[in-house]
Amino acid sequence: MTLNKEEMKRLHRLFSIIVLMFLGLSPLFAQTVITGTVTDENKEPLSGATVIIKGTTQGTFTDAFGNYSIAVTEQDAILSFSFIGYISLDETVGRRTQINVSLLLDLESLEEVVVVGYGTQRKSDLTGSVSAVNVEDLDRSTSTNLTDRLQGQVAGVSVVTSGQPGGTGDIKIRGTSFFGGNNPLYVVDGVLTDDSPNLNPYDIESVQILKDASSSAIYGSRAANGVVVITTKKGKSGNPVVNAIAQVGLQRIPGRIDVTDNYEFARINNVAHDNSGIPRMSKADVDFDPDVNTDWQEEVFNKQALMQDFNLSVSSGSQKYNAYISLNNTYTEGTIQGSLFDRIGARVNTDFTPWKRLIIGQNLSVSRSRISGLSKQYSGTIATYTVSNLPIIPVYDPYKTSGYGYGDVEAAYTFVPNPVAQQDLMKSMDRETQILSNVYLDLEILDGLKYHFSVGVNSNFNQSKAYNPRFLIRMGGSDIQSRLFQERGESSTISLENRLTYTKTFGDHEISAMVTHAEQEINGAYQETETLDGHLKEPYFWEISASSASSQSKGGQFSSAIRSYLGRFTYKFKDRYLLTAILRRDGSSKFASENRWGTFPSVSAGWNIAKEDFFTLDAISDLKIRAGYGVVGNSSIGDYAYQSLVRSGVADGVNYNMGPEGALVIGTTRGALSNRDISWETLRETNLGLDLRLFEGQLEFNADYYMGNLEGLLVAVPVPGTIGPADATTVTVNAVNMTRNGWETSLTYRRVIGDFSFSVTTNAFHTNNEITYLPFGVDEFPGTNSTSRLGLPLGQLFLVEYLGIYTSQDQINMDGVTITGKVPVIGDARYRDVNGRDEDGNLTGEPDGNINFDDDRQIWGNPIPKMQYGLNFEVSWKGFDLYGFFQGVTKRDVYNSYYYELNASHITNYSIDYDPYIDGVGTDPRPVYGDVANNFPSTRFVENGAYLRLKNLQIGYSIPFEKFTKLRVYLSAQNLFTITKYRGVDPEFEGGVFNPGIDRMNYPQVRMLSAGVNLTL
Amino acid sequence: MKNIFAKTLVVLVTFSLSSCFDLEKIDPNHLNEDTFWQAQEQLRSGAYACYDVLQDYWGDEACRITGLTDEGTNEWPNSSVYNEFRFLSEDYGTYADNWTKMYQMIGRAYQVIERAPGIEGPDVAAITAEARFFVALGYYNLQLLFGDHVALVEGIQSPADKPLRAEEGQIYKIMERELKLAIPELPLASEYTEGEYGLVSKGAAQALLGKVYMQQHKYTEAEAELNKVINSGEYSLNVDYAINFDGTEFVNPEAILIANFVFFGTEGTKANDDSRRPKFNSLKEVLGTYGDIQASNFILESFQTENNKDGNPDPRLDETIFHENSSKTYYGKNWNYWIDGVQNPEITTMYYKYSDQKSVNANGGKIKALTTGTDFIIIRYADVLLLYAEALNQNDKTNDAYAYVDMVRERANMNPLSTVMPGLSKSDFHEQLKHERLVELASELVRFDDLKRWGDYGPKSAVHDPNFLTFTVGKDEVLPIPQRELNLNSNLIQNPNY
Repeated sequence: MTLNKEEMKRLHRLFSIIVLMFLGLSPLFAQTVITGTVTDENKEPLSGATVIIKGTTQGTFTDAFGNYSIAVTEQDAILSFSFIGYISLDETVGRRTQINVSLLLDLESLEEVVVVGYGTQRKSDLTGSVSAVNVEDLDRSTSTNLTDRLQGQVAGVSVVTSGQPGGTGDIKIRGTSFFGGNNPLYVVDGVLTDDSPNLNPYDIESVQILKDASSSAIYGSRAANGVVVITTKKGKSGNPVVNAIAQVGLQRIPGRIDVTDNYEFARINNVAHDNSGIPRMSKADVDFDPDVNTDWQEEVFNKQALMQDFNLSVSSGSQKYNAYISLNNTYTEGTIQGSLFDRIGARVNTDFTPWKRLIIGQNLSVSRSRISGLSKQYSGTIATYTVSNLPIIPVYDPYKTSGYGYGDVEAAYTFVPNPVAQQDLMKSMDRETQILSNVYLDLEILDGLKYHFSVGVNSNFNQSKAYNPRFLIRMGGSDIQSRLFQERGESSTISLENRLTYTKTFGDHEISAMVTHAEQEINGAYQETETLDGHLKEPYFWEISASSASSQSKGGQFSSAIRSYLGRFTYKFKDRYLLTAILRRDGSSKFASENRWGTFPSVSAGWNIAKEDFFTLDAISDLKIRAGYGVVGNSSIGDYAYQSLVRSGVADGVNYNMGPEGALVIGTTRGALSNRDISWETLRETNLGLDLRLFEGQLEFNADYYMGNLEGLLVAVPVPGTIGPADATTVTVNAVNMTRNGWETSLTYRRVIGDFSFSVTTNAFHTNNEITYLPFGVDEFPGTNSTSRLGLPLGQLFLVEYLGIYTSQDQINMDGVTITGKVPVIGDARYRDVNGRDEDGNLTGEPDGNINFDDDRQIWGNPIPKMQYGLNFEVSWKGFDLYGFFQGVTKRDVYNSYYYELNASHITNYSIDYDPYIDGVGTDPRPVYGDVANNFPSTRFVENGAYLRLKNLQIGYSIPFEKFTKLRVYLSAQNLFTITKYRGVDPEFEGGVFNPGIDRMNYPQVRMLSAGVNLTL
Repeated sequence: MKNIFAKTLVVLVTFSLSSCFDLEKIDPNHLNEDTFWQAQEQLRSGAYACYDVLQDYWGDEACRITGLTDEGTNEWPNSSVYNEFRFLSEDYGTYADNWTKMYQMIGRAYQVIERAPGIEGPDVAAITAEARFFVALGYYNLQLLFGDHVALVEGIQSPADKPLRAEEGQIYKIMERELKLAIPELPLASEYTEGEYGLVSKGAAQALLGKVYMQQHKYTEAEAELNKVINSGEYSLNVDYAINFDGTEFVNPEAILIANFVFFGTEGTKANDDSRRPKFNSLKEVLGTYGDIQASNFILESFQTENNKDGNPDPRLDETIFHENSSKTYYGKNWNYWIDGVQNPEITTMYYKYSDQKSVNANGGKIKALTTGTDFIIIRYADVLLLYAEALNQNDKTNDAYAYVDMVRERANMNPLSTVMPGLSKSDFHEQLKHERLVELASELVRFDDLKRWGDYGPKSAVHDPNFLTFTVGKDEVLPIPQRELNLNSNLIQNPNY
């Protein structure tokens, strides 16, 4: 936890009183009374600042508004202004009767305290790679969840945000490491949770990210994807502080792909049909209707959607009792019509101190969130359909029974469903109630020996519903059945923690030791019901009981537990030499008893060079080098994965029929293959770091380099058919090894010049991996258009190399190749022949004069960006402030799936820059309906996916208004502009683990303009 | 005040240091393999899982074996995977299923065999014997298709197991061993109740053991074993030949081993309880049929060599194939419909046997479903009689052999062989038996066994089926071991010349 100004002010007030009492203040003889105000660099009053007449014991301190008044007897008296955490200032009185001073923050003396898991450490004592996130910067974001707010803020942490209402972005700390998921562990007020918690971000006091194995080892088996440690706000002593934040915004999808209109579509499409001898689509030819020119993106992406977020909190307390209460309401409409996210949440955090050595406290947050509208199932694909549907199809078509326009076999051949109909008809509703709570006790048993006990209960209750009427909104097939699907689930996690901490300083030595016993158990159950074609007439009552058809149900329960013993030892000598050692042992119910326990050690050391006597460089106020090594684990598997189950039952069973009537008899055999030997996936990582502060903290630089080995990654490997059981073709084993390494840097520069202050924080990082071992002599895991090969990073693009089109017969003769068995003609795609097969059908590695997709693919380009970066800047002048946040990635090779979808076939629309070879003109391959050879997934669709995006721009003004401590109004723009050459809808996309360079055409990002007010009483 | 907190603390520490949560969590949603196998009831259920493979295999992959022989051909001689002798070892989608389903049968059987010793009950020995029968049946088919050097699985496999390559003859030894262990424990067919019709009987195991001996040319042992089946009094020929194939539901005295199929209608969700066989055997790909395998002209020619007692064509002809002069219709369509526009005008007949004509609506034409609930007879008594005759002939008892051929011929209203061809030499009798087996058993998936046993599986079959023109000696006698299996198990070696 970082001590913020409020707390420092409070501390100072206490401190001042003590100092003044010490000094034995006597009444001042008033000769000249000097008055004035003491403020901080932002002109905010400093209450409790000390004002002393230098060389005397006379002094006073400022009141709540920073005002003071002091009597001096001499003109050459010097007033000394001081405040903890600020640089003291001396002013000679002279003839003045009013002296106003602004104290500057003394960054050096700021002893930032950082939560490192099961305790805190001073920032200067850190030996691992731990990033304390600037919560003020997070609060500039208009995102309504923490994960999205972390984007671009921390070196080594990459977030791809989601434009979907209520959607949470995808976060990765130090890149892709595991195949089963790369979500970090979240720790909220000491309670561990694997999912991104549905927290109100304004309740967050501090966020720390444990990135390297030497620091995350404290969370042992759950830490290999990194750890996000969150502390929520506590009540603060003093008068009640009321804070209200309201913001309202409008959002829309900024990304578009320009596609052909009806005339241009018809021109190309007709040629494509003519070239293949297949009759033209009649709506592009004889039945062409100039008035039907649907701009599907205009129909679907054009919605202005409202976003509202209201937050109210009250914080108050005394020496005995503190409380923080908050209420939050978020309402976000989807930019694709029909979807809606809303959340209402409340939090109560209290603590009381019944006895000076004892604190008892509690944190409780209850939230209800709801995502409704367009079915989740379709919100992922609707963007694709919107981009690719034909312009010659009307949105509404009275000749269709559903009333929506879609493809016709001879008239307008496309299988793309009508996206407008999808948003109108495919509905879902998800409701989740989440309770996060814990009760804790802190007892100082002896001086230096502390005991902490905590019990946490997290509960989730969710219900979801998906429903659609019977209809037909795409060509081919029969009506989609009417469907109502309902699911209810609940899960509860109970966490227990006992912790003993001992700290002791003797001479130049400072030691601390911590031991903890922790346990966690998750229990849950679910139940789902589906009824098909039971809702056929309007008005629809979307309830199971209203269905005229029978329904099918499923249900089950689950349980898992983890037990941990852990300890940390730190040693510090002369404030310069630092050592941290961690040991954690975890036992998990997910593994068989003989593999259940894992041990996760780490050790790290640091050297504060700047504190050495020989170090005399004044410009450098802080210089520390760090080195650490640790082992951490992960287990991305189901609860009972090691248990061998049998398959038995009526539905989908291994059953037989007996007797002349074929009576059913139930068979039983081993079900899915299990592996009792599965155990933790591990990361062994070495981290080297450097922390540097220059010019009294104006410039701060941090750098980390890490190299690690991921071992025993869980992966489903194929097994031979001789193994027997039905449909079991794979088994999960700890089999793959990878290396992971990278670097992270961040640089902060702050400056205050009079009323003007500014700061710039940048971070840049890169992470890479390489497969070092695959099981069973396999050297490759192939994927669609990408492959993961031994000795290379995960998910390289794997495509045929496109060389443009044939523009002359000479070229064709020169190449002398066939493409899928055919000799190309002018205008056809030209590819590089790199491989062939011998008589036995084995690949030779030599060109064979025939190009086909399977044989001639090559590893192509690197989908992992060379660098990812973020840049925050903040400028303030008097009451005005300007904040900007850029985020981006440098060059990476991306497969543009949108362009493949559009331009590789003639049953979808074309992009406007598609330039097929027609009548001797054109740069793209000749359009031939149904032709594969001209449209291989090839390097033709590979683009540079680099981008730079202004994620957030905010202008604020703090209105000086006596009655309020703070009244700030602001305007904010999210995703205002993007610089990129990428032609897909959005360069900020998330690929898969095994195909990171393939644009999966997800719900696009939104641009939002919003206004807000932040008021503190 | 202090005291209360101190006490509370002691209580809390004591409470919390004792572990609260159990780390042993058993899946509450499914039966666990470690605890499932408790009693005879579970063994019985385990055995049913082996029978499930009968439905799965004989309703699908097995039907393709016709295409591998000269009794089946195809309209696309140069591109079909069904009978072109260029099996790509990568093409595991087609023939690899024959491999995996047989190992499925064996794997499920071993689950019963290995769990049985700890379980007591009156039927445990018999259930174990059924499982042993399935081990033998699985290996019989594997050996037939892939040769001697298949993977040697002799127990429940764990995912890491890479079974060894079987040595020559080793698979036959396993079949003999398992069947000899099974036979004494298995009930006679008549000892089963009507509701248990379809379970493996002593006769089925004896008949299979007879076949195992026959394939190894162990005629003495075969004669003895097949004799036991015939003399058991358990089996007899139906008066009506056609009744074996038309789906009439009854306890069939001619069926020694069946795959029991049930048709649940077009909306049925119980997949694989029916047979998909009717889809494969049409002349062309229409009405939802696949048109994969047709009868070779050799079948019609074989029937045309001899008329029945009344001077009419062999009555088995119309039950076996659909041809120009058939008295039947096929899915409500006449000959002209089926012959119109066939890919290869040389191919003019298709198999009628087991095609479920009940699938056709009375109003004609519209096919309800191309799957059938007609049970498939894997081992038929007529097959055993003819095999017995063959064994006798091989054991120089040609005269004794006539009687068993005549039993089969007379049921079909054919003149007895002893009348029309008396006194045949051993080798002539053997040649005549080849004809007898073809006309009686065509398309019943025994031709592949026959050709291999007779040493006839090779280029000389090209006179019956032109696909054999591309047959490579020393290679095409067996299928390639699926490439996926070779990739995953380095103990296996690909069959020669693949």
